[in-house]
Amino acid sequence: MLMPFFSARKIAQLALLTGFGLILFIFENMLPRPLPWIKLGTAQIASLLALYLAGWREALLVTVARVVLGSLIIGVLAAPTFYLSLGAGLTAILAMSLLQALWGDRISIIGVSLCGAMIHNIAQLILAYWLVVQSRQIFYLLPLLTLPAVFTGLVIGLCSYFLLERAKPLAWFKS
Amino acid sequence: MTGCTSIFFLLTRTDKIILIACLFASLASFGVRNWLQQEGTDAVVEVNGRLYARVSLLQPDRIRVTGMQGEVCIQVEDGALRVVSSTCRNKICMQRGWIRHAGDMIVCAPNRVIIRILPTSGHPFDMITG
Repeated sequence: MLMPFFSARKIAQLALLTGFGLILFIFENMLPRPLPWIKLGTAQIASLLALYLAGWREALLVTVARVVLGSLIIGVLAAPTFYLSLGAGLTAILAMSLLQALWGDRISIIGVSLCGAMIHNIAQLILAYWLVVQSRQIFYLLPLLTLPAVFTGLVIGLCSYFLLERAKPLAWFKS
Repeated sequence: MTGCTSIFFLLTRTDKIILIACLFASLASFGVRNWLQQEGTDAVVEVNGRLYARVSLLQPDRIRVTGMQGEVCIQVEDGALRVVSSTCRNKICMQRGWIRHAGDMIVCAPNRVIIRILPTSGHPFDMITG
């Protein structure tokens, strides 16, 4: 549907960003997580870079491709976790696109990433409530998810900021 | 990136407002806990890991539970429940007072008695996301 609008150059760029996100996703999956509900979410860097280097459609595509391929590789495709991460990932990237489009001149990539992290976690909880648990008590976990998300969103935003600074001057990314 | 010593140089004014708003919102969501608490309608009593009795909180009652050391007496009234007497030494179970919310529990360790108020709906377990 979107494909005919993409040049070969753009497809290569998006593939690169997807691959980058996948590597981060798989690497992060190997790290031990002492608190299972806290995740750094480094794969979001790829989505953020796609948003800032290409656009919101491309960012959406990169996110979907990364979530589907990543789940396939680590073996949770079609498990509840997959729907949760796909739904939350889509919500977060759409919210971030909207923020960037509306207030992009006032909010830097760091602020956008912070909002994305918060919205990702809130969306995940709401989805878990709808699809899996169906008990209001799951919202007890809200502060446990959003408080770390402030920190991780900031860190991911900073990483994306510095990467964007270095990626922008590359002629390769100018379409 | 010329000599940035603090990340706060990188944040715009709106970014800082968002950061503070997010922090406050997450801290405020601790308050959601109280708002979400549901009154329970049923409780279970376990002795030494085995189900001893299931108690409805809706009708006033007094239940004597034979624990590992002696007797624990439970009083049920007005949708709440408490331990009124116990043969244990420290009486921690009695000091716990009334419990009424789903998920609350009273434990008497010397008697190996656990009294839990059951959640009214849904599964007792959360899930772990990957």
